[in-house]
Amino acid sequence: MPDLITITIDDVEYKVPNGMLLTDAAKLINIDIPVFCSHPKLDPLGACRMCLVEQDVRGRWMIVTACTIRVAEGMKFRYASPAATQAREDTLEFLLINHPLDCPICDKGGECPLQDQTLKHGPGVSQFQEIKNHKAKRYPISDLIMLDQERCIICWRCIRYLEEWEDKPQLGLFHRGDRSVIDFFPGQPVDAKTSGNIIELCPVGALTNRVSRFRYRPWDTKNIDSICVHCSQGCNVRLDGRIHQLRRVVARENMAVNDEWICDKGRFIHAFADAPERLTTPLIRDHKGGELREAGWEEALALVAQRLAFTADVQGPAAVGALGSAKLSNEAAYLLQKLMRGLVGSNNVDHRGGAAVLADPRGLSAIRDVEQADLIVLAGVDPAEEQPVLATFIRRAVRRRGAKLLILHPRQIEDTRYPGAYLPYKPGQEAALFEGLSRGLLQEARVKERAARLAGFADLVDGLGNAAVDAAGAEAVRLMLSAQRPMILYGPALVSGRAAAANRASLMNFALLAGCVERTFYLAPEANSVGARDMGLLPASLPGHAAIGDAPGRERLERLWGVKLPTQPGLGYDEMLEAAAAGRLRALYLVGSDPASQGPAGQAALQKVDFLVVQELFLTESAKLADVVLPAVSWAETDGTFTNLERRVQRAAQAIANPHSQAAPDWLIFTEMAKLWPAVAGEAKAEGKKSKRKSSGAARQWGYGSAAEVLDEITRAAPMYDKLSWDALGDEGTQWPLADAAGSPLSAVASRRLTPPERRSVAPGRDEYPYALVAGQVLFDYGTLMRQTEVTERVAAPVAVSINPADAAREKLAAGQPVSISSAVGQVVLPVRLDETVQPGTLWIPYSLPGAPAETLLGSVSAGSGARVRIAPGALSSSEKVG
Amino acid sequence: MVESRTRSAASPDLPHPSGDPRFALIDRTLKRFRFQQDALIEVLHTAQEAFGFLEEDLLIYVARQLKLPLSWVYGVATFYHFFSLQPQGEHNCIVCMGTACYVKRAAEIVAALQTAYGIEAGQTTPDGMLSITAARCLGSCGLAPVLIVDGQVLARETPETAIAAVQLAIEASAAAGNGRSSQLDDSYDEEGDL
Ligand code: SF4
Ligand code: SF4
Ligand code: FES
Ligand code: FES
Repeated sequence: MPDLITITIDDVEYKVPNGMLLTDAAKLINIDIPVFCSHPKLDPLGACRMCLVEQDVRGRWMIVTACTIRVAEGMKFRYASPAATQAREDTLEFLLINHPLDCPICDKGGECPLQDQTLKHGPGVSQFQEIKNHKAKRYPISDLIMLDQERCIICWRCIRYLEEWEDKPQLGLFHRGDRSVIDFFPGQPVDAKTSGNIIELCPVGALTNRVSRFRYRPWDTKNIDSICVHCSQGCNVRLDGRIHQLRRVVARENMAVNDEWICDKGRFIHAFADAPERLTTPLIRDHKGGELREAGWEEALALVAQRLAFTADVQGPAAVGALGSAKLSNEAAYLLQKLMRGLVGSNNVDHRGGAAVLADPRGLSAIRDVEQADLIVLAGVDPAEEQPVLATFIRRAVRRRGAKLLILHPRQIEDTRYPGAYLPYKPGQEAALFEGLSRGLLQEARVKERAARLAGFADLVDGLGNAAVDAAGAEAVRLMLSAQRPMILYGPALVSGRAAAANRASLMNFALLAGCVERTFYLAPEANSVGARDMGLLPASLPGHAAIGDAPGRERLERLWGVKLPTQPGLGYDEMLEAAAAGRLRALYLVGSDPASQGPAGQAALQKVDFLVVQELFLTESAKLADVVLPAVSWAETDGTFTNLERRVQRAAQAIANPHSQAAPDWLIFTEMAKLWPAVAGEAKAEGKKSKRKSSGAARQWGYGSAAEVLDEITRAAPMYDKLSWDALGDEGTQWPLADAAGSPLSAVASRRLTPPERRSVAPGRDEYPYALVAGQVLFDYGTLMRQTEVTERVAAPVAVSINPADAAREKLAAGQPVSISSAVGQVVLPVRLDETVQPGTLWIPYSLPGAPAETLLGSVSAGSGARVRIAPGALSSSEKVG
Repeated sequence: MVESRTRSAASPDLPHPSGDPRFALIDRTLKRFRFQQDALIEVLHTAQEAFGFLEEDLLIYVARQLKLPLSWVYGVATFYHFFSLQPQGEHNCIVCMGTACYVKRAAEIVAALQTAYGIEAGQTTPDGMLSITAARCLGSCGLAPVLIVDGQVLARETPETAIAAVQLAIEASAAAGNGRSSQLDDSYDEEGDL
């Protein structure tokens, strides 16, 4: 309870919290002091003079700025007095002197504080008869944001946001007086990853969204609350639709998740929802080698159901598999695995295309916990590229609370500019790195004493040996030991690929020794990475994380679904592709996954299956190989829920619908397909002459009329989703509890057991492939979604291989020169880019570039980024040109 | 690459790679102020005196050394009229267009100079002899309209006297055969003008 004090406004006494800004205090008592520069999320500045009031200063009434005054006992103000009113009116008159008459064509018109304030507090007439100042009107400050300097009222919000939240003060106020302009240093436009927030902060139409410019009027859109599905943070957004199109995405406040910010991917990358290349009707290929032709839903669904049922019947259910994706909603993920398990009878379902196999499914305790940490360890994760809004919270912790960062990453990521330590490593050295740190920790007597009580201690000490700890490692250990509230965040790069288990074990050892294992969290990558696991879109676990082998858990679902479930764990993502390539998997159902775009190996596997179904938004590389393509809709076109990296289940409601398209939501496609099952299963039985399964009972369980009804069933299938129905989730979502009473397998994650390090044979330095390939996620990759508008394509990652300038000099390579890079499994040609943040001895290629160069060199995405490669000058011949 | 106050830039003691001796002057000022960020104005002063104007490269150097964001340095450099971002002419004529001078018809002086020398305020003649600048209040309103020709403050000017003063300055240096004129007087206090 804050202490209340008494202030007087216009001769009336009010009780307000001590120390509050006068503008905020006034709001509590329903006095709406107009502001421009003041903003609840930015430090007070007092730049615009819109909020002028009178204050009694030792008996004299003075004009002061309400937005910078913190109220204290006995302060007296006048808001409605003639002098105060006149002062505000004058401020507005001044602001309007040089303001252009742009309202009719200004994006802000209709939601413009300058319009509103002028109407409410302005003079109504202008005395100004001279010629207005002219400044730059269409002045891009980045590829994504347009500045109109004439509309700017110099409130400094944009400058302050970039300074206070992004810690990238790229905009400044240049010149002075009526010539003042917002601008950037020549040649250094804004490139902050959450820069779009300044568009919303701008109280006028000076900063506009280059994707949405002139495509909406604020009063003319239908606005739906949703969430962003580009990463696992699940930022809350509002989707503004107009005549069936998504015209604009803006942020929505959710203090627990995104404060009131979103990143530029969330704001600008949405054209895929309206793209003309979207699939609008089912497609069927009548015979291998033939063309895809348009078909109706009935024909397509019947064909799919019949072929899946037939294959299951004849080849056995294990010959059918489904690859979903961590981008699918909970409802889609749940129904896909239910269809596979309940109707097809196969546990071959997975979603982890390259993603962490061994990651902790619980995610982060709570997103905003990062702000309380005094040491944040970023292990193999670059939040600025992977969860940019989380990155701003981390920067706040550093800037405002003095937190330090201990960064372990193959690239010298941007946040290494902060106090702390940076330990570079090459892919493959992760476990050794953590073992070194563990050795360092054990040199400390108190660590050793505490750790001696942990199971596995002796073996660990044995295995770690007593090699010396280098200076950087010692500094990292010192940071770790002196921290009061350390927090370890690790990313998918650390726990995918061949070394995943060893990496994770060494990380957990380190965390246990540091006494930080309860505060060690996995930053899941995709919008529904956590949800897809909760829904059981995994070969060995059912909804609610019940293991396939766990009889009570399985029986509970059998009762719910009215079927018998297969008891053997199925194949994982890579295993299914391998089985397909080997001819053991005969029918494959891809829902939102695209193995063919992940290099030649994926393509070859898909070509081998007898029957390939692809359910997608676009005609992806995989869809081009399909026998049947089912057109699905984007997150904006259906209801769905997603579970973010802190286990918060959130709603994304339908915002638009394309009347010219037959594309359907995933949940509806699955439901309709299931309804056909009894018939086709009977047919298959007749054809196959022997039936192994009886599934008509199961199909009766598929009467969903909406996504919300699917969610209702989820609340019964996954114990942690109990009570999380559509209505109950509300606008801000609900977290499922970290500690679950049912003693779920999740508690095993925080096992307090030390694992002895694996004996690794030190791979001999093979001169044939002298470089380590580092591949990873960047915010603006070059995937399909980025390519939908010219504006967003411009910011996509350069199609190039980045190399340290020292290595380039030694190899005699110049920037822009084409080089050929080869690994044991593939070869690509790319232009060279020099980049000091790339470690010597490594090459950096982001995932999802056109032509999938990183994926090609790695062979499979799930191999993790560890391939050895060599580089040589090479020409870009037109046939092998990438992109 | 983005500059930040917190960025651990290359050690501030590193001299400018070009080896241009004029950077040593800047370095001396930097050291005198122990690389304190609030010495920015002094450092820019030195830079401007050493180089005649503030090239982008110079601003980047100063920003690095003081670990200040480029946008701040640029903001300060553009705020004060003393600093120039373009090469200046040998002679320099600043006409005050502040309120007091404006009321006393400074605009006519600017117009006359523009016609006489064929350039706009803010530009330099093609032969590099003269730059004309229009300034905000120069802090000597009592003398309005005020002109500063090569650092000399001239009071109560008219279009005719202004052109005569500029012509005199140009001819004097031509006669003396010496190229450079002095820059503005150091004691000139830009802070007075807020
Ligand atoms: S910023 Fe506001 S007042 Fe200015 S033109 Fe746009 S809508 Fe009109
Ligand atoms: S551009 Fe907008 S946010 Fe930035 S200073 Fe101008 S009015 Fe304020
Ligand atoms: S809102 Fe108070 S000065 Fe701008
Ligand atoms: S207005 Fe010219 S000196 Fe003040």
